[in-house]
This record gives sequence, structure tokens and C-alpha cells, in this order.
Amino acid sequence: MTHTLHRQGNEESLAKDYTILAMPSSGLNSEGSLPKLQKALEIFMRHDPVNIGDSKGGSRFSLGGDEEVKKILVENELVHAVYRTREQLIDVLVELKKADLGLSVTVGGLMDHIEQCCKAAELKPHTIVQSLGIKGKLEKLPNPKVLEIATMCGHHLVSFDLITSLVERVKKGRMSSEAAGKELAKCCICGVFNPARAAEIIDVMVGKEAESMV
Amino acid sequence: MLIDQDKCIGCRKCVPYCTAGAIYIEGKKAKINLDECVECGVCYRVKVCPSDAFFQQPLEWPRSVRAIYSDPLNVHKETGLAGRGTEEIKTNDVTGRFKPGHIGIAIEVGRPGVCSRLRELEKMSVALMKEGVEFEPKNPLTNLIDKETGKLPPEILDEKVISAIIEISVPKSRFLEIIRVIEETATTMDTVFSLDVASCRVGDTWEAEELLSEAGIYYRPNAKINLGLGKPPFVSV
Repeated sequence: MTHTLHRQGNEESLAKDYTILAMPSSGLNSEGSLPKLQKALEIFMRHDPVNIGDSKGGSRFSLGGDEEVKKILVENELVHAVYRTREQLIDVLVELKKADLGLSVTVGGLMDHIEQCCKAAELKPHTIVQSLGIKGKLEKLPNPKVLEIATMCGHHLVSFDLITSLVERVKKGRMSSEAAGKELAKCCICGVFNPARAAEIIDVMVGKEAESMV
Repeated sequence: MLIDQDKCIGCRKCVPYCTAGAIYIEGKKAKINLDECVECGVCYRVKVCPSDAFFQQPLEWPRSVRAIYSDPLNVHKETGLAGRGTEEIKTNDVTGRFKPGHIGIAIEVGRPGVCSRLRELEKMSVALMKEGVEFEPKNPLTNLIDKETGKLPPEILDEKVISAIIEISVPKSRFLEIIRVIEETATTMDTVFSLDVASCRVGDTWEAEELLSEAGIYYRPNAKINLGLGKPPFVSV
């Protein structure tokens, strides 16, 4: 449950990270859902997402492009996109409402922001999942910045070691933070990883953000 | 997952991609510690190996449970979905699975990214079964849990996975009591878990949030919200 929930980070950083997914319900309205899913994906693609994907096939970064994601869509599937701003999210919601596809749509992000976006798009929120955080043996967790990046793939296919390794490469000037974000995004097959936010977090980790502020 | 030792050139590129830290170098070749490998398939799928040395061996029971709870491309026969969970709130506007007056709770053992032996998850399933809570029938884990004791089949206890999810539903009146049981059980576990709660909108409030706020229990500012666009909408009879 909840592969787009549990994203870590402060509110300033999470304010640049909104996930959206559309899907039919298996056995209830899944028959004939493929054209609706294609339409939903087309709507997602029109609003400049930082990532798109589907749960059974792959993402922009794992498959190598948006058209590839579209090509491999099948019936009874789940399509995703990630946006950086509330304005983008509102535009997508308005268009989805108008399209009236009958698919269920779920949005992840800061709760207050989602509710504001729903209001702007004249939508009424139906059900919520809220995170109570991480419990148990917390000493097993990596440093918080690594965790902020890792939790953007809810299936945890982006390893802590890869994040650490790419941060080192960026620090040594062998790779840009943008390239590191995209490399990490390749591991997340359903396309909910936000490579742009990952790059920003990496910049903070290597001190680039601090330097640019001086 | 295995690495063809004849093909491996020992370049080490694959090592950091492993979600479970199972790839190591020995004798200038990359090898996989099969006890640590969770069979998520990342090393194979990202095609980081320049000599295409990774290959998937046939997975038989009980090792097959590693892939079931680690590789999201596995489609579960119980849910028809890829991934480790269910449709949960994602289609609640159509299914009506979460109803007013009830709170859904999900305990994803091993998440975020720490992984877990299923033995650790069993501690939680046993504790919750004692409480007589309702386990979600469509969750791919539920059919493995003994309905009286909460135990898992003994042969899978040492299997390691990225995460597996216990999904339960409780009446509002028992919600805080069950959260306390979960918190207490957490202290006995040798891994982490991510905890979340699902509820409906009643009037202008979310049912779980109201209870959490009253009890002073922390919840994160980010959430996941179903927007009610699914059709036909669920209608309670």
C-alpha cells in the first residue's frame, strides 16, 4: 500500500513534489480501461511532468522515453506522473475532471496543498491515507538526506548505497546532480521518483546550494 | 539472481545498485550473497552490467516469496496488481472498501529500504491477530497468515524481502488502542516499518486525523488523497 506516501523531507522540499495516479478497479470498471488509461497518460504528459510511468511496464527513465511508456500500457493498469508545482497539478486535475474518464485518481503531496488544488479544480476529496512515520529500529536508517531521496521510490528500488555513491561522484565533479537524479530514477520502475527534487537534495548534500547562496 | 562468473569482468559497477547490499567482489569477480539477496531484480533491469552477466535463476518456494514482496513487477494472483499491496484507497471511490466509522491501518515492514526477514513481520501479525482485528482479504500476505495464531508458515520466516504489508481495518472505537499495540510491538522488532492510516471524509474532516489530533499522535504533513473521480461511484446500501 501507499507507494507514493511516506516521502521524507521538510515542507519546503515537499512543496516541489506532487504525484498523481489514475487506475480502474480490478473487476469493477477495468474492462475496456486501456483507452482511458492512454487518455489519462496523455493528459499527464501535456503538463510537463518530471517523470511518468506505469506500474507493470516502466517509467520515462527505465524505458528511455515517454512514448515507450505509452506503448507498453495494457488493460487494468495504473499510470503515474510527478509534478513540481501546484499550478501544474491544478491544470491536470481540471483537465482530468473535464475528460470524465471514470478512472479513480489519487494525488500525493502536502495535505493542505492537495486540498487547495482540489478546491481550485472543484473536486471533492474522497478518502485519505496519512503517514504516521517510521517506527521500529530507527538506528538502521541512513542519514536523513539519503532517506529523503530513497523514499521517493516507494518500492525502495533505489538503494541507499547507490545514492551515497552518486553523491560522491557529484562531489568529485564527475557527474552533475541532474544526471545523478536521472540515474537514480532508472531504478524506480513505476515512475513516481522525482529526479529534479533528488538533484536539489544532492546539491544540498554536496554543499553546492550553500556555495551558490554566498 | 545470479551472476555468470564467466561473463563478469569485475568492474564493480553493479555493486551500489543492490537494494539489499548483497553484491560483493571476490577474486576480481562480482558475486551475490544469496542469503541477503531479496530478488528485487534491480541489478538485472537497470542493465548496468557491461557484459550482461546477470541472470534470473528459477525461484522455487519458499525463496519465491522474496520476489513476491520485493519485485513490484510481480503480479499477485490475489490482487491482480503489480506491487506489494492492494488497491487500498486508490479506488475507494468505486469499491467503498474503507467506510465511514472504520479506519484502515497499513504496517509496511522493512520500509523504508532497510528490508526485513519475514520473522520480524510475524511479530506484528501475531500481536494483531491476538487483538482480533480484520486482516484485508485481498492483501497478498493475508492468505499466508494463520487465521488463529497470526503466524506465518515456518519455512518462510528467514526469507528476506524489501518490504511486506499487513493491512487491517478497525472500528473507530478501537483505533487508538490498536495503534498502541503496534507501537509496543515495534520495540520488539529488529527492523523498521512505515505506518499509515486510511479514512473517509465525513463532513469537512478526515476521520483518522480527528482521532490522531485528539490523542496528540504525530502524523506527517504529506498524504495521499483519492479525489472521487472513479465511476460508477460506490453507493452504500
